[in-house]
Amino acid sequence: MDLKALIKRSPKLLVGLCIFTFFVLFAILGPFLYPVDPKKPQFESLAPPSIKHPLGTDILGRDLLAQLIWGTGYSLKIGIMAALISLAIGIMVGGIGGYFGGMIDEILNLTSNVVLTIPTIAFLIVVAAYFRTRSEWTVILLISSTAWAGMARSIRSQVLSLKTREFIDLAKLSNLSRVRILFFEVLPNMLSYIVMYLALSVAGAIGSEAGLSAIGLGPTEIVSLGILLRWAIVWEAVRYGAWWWFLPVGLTITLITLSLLLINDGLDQIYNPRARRS
Amino acid sequence: MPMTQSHHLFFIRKVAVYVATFFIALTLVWLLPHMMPGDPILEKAMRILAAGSKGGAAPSAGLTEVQVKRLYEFWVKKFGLDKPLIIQYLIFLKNCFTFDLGVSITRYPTQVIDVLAQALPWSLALLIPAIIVGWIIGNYLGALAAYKRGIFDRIIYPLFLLMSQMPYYWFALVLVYTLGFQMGIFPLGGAYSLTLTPSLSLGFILDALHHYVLPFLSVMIPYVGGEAIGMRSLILYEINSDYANYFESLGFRDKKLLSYSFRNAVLPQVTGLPIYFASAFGGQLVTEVVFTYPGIGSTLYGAVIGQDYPLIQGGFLAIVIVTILGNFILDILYAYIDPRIRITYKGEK
Repeated sequence: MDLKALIKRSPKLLVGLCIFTFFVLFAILGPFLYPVDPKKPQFESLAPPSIKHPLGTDILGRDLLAQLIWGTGYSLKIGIMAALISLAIGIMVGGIGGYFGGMIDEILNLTSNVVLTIPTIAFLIVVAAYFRTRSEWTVILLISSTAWAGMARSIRSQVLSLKTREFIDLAKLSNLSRVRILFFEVLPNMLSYIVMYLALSVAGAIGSEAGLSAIGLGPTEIVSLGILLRWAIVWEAVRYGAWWWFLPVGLTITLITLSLLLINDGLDQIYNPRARRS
Repeated sequence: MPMTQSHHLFFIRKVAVYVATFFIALTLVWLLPHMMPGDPILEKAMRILAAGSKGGAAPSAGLTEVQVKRLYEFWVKKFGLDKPLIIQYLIFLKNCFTFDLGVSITRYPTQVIDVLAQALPWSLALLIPAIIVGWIIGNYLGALAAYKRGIFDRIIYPLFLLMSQMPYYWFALVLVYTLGFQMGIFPLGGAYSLTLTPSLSLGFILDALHHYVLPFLSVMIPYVGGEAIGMRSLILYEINSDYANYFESLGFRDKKLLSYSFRNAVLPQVTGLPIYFASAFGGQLVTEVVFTYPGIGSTLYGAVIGQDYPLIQGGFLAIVIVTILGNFILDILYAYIDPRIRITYKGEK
């Protein structure tokens, strides 16, 4: 099916893809089109948006548009990387548990449920607090260390329903090994589902990073959207009436996660006949 | 009866997950300091030694190397670090079950458990009403949007989407800025005026309620969005189902039909509550920081800033316990609402 037909069937997907692509381009092209150092205090402090500073400056005199460009880039990178890693773990845990069943499944399923029960942000806070410095990769790995569980549970339930289909029986009859059946017969058949879930996980990871950073436990060396919000909270942007300091950052987070939700919904409309009806 | 067994198994599994979660959280709290590089006590001893050799004004100034070595050994013994790991772990568990979580560093010499006992009621007073009110409003608006469709739905559905995706603490900033800073209707932060001491007088309660509005709205409104989206799609599905079409052809009133589809759609919405509970609670933790609201979130934040590890660990355990209890209550609620489970438990036929 070509892209055009896909989009025609779901306008949500189109809107989602447009917003997401916009922010990806914003982060990639931004530094070239607007080459201002995001961390260097070099301008007037707390200047409202103007032609010179489209999004104004913060209390230290740093340009907020430059911060938003770099912050979006790092947040997208952290979100996408963390989602990919948790996807890999989730496929392993959910796929193996669901397909092999028995004791392995009981243990893996219990583990995923335990990880799902512990509130993510609390876990991230208690672990991150022990790191004096946190690189972006520390944060990516921390986020993936909990985010895989939701993925594992969904993939497990998909595998459970797929493994009773005829083509799997056929594969078994042709004497393929169980690992081979799982990875070459079962998983490719749930690719659309995996892509849908991936969109949601990127959104979830971006949200986790923002929450962790807002409380002061994000990456220590870079600017991310969460760190920008943290600065606005710590320096009490509200009490200075500096709406331009916090409004665009939060809108960016909201729109990015919203676009991913729309992509997920749109794909669901296309691939899931039940959702299409409504 | 296979049905009864499967439902019992369902409940046993749930409880097993909660017990396992609790022990894993405890173990994690104990394990984390052990996994980190470096020896905190040696570091402390070295710092004292360095302060001594510089002849600084530190209270330990003038200690010789031998004395510091003795001090080190004393601390190792005092914290039980000379015992085998498994014994250390068991002692830790015993302490946890007797609510002995150690002493807070930033609020020395207050016990961690006392700090938490003071913060927890504030957090729960925010969380529980926000979830209940948010759930009701969200489900009502979601059902209404699905039922009315047309222009109403087209305007309110994107709003729901936006609401559900906003970071809670960012929305808190927006509310503080508009209703607090610009219009001056509500205070910018805190749980009560600092000039008042907490008491049950009318003046204090009104003051606390005045401070309560903005934090409450910033936790509740994003939650409404998520619930409404779920309810909307469930009702849309119900309205298009065979029984609804049959109903319509029989000429039933729309209101009657809606009440039937609502009852069918509510069940999955209750199933989803634990997930929302966890995310609302997580979002609230950071929101409290924005409002300097004296709950668990702000406590944890203060502990992170002051590197108060006993308090961080205690706060984490408190959050895990509240989440587990919340989930457990919701499970019971679910069993009560779902007729299939209720029947097997009451033995109705």
